[in-house]
Amino acid sequence: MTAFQVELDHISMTYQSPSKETEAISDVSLGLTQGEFVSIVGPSGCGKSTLLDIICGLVKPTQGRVRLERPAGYMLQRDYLLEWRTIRQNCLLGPELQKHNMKEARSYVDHLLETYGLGEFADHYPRQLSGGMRQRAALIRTLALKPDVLLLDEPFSALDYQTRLAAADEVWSILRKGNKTVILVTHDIAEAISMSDRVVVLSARPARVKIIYKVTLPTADLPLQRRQDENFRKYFDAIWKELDIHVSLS
Amino acid sequence: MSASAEPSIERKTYLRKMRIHKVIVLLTQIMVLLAFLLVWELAANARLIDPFITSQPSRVLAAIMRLHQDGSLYLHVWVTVVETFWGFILGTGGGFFCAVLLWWSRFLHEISEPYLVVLNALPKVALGPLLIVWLGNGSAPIIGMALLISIIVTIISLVSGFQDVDPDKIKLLLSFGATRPQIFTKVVLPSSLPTLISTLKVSVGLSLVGIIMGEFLVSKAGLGYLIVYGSQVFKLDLVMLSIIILAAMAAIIYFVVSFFERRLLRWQK
Repeated sequence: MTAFQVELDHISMTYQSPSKETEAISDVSLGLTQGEFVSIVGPSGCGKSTLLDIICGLVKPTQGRVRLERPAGYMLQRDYLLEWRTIRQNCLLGPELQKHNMKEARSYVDHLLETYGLGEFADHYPRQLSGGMRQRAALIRTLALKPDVLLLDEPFSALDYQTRLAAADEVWSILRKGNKTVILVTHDIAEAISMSDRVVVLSARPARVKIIYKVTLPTADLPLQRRQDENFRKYFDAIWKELDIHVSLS
Repeated sequence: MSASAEPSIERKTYLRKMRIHKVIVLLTQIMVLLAFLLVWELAANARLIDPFITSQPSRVLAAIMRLHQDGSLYLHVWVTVVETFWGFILGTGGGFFCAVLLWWSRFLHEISEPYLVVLNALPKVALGPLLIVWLGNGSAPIIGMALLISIIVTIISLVSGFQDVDPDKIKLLLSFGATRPQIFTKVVLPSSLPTLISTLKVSVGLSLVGIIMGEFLVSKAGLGYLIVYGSQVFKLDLVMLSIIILAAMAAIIYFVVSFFERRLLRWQK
């Protein structure tokens, strides 16, 4: 049909629970071309993560469809590295579960670990690594299946501020280099603007697409550099206003 | 992580202090045991306590030598060890199987919940006479008793261990398209390994309890038999001897289990 690599076609989601019916997502449509980096921001609890679960195929939407050529890679809020496996074994989890050729997978994972500075930690256990390194290992685990599309669900939220900025730069470079299509869910407006080509603002529950901003900051710059750009503030203020966050002082 | 070439003097003093402390604790533990045996022996010799009803270490030792010479010591120990082994294997194996089943099927778990609660609270000794009627008077009712005592606790603690696994870890595996058996073997089982081992510790102890209880009810040999027999003919040396051997068995079991614990949980260090 279109040149979209991922397409959300009128997605709606309603949850049932004994006490009530909750409409989480209402008629969300979105298309991403290959290599595009799109962030989704919205008030907390608006159903951003549910949207990713739907794109990944973990949750079936009540209405609408997701069009995807191959399964997307999913990166969760925390790294969830399995403590009893070494870093290499953790990164090989995807190929192992899908019964791929393990020799090929292993050499690919070793190559990724080497490229992204985790080569010497391949045989370490997760608890021996710092937070930023663990997050990088989690990314390699996602990349091991060579997905075209990556879904990131607040992947930096468990990190402290400095690590977070550095990790954003690292992850961003890795994904750009691989020409991956990325959907990033975050509550951090600055993070969304600094990393994305477009920022989708969702409304409070039920989530609808309120407005989509095209970010025209220099694409060659790293997220940290883009934060210094003079136009950065403009996007920030505009999105902040859209989100309509009320800070009550009482 | 990095080991420096030469530890500082403070470090050396600290390590030496720790070593000395450990040795003192161990020595004191041994002294307490020796003192207890000595007081027991002397008090019996001085007739402060009546060795006819309390026995005394030298008599126990003599009884052990006697049973060693006629070989019956090994028969009784062997019978109890073999029965405990089977009770433990069946109780843990059966408990594990049921726990996997209940993890697999939420429906089955919901159905079985009230039954498990009641069976857990029921004193299993009450079923002893039934076991004898149903299973005869060989080893079967004794092993049956050990099985009953250990299996329910095993099921309950394993199921709760399985269900305690972080749902986000399961979500991670699902995002990789994992099947249910894969989720069990790759995440649920390894994450509940600590629970599994603590359950084994409890159930091996309970199996021994069950075996002795079973032997009290019906038996021709075994340490439980020896205790009952000894008390009936007022040979308290036999009773004390059996209790001491049971204590030794419990200690051996403890060391075996903690050996496996260290082997299996290496990644926690």
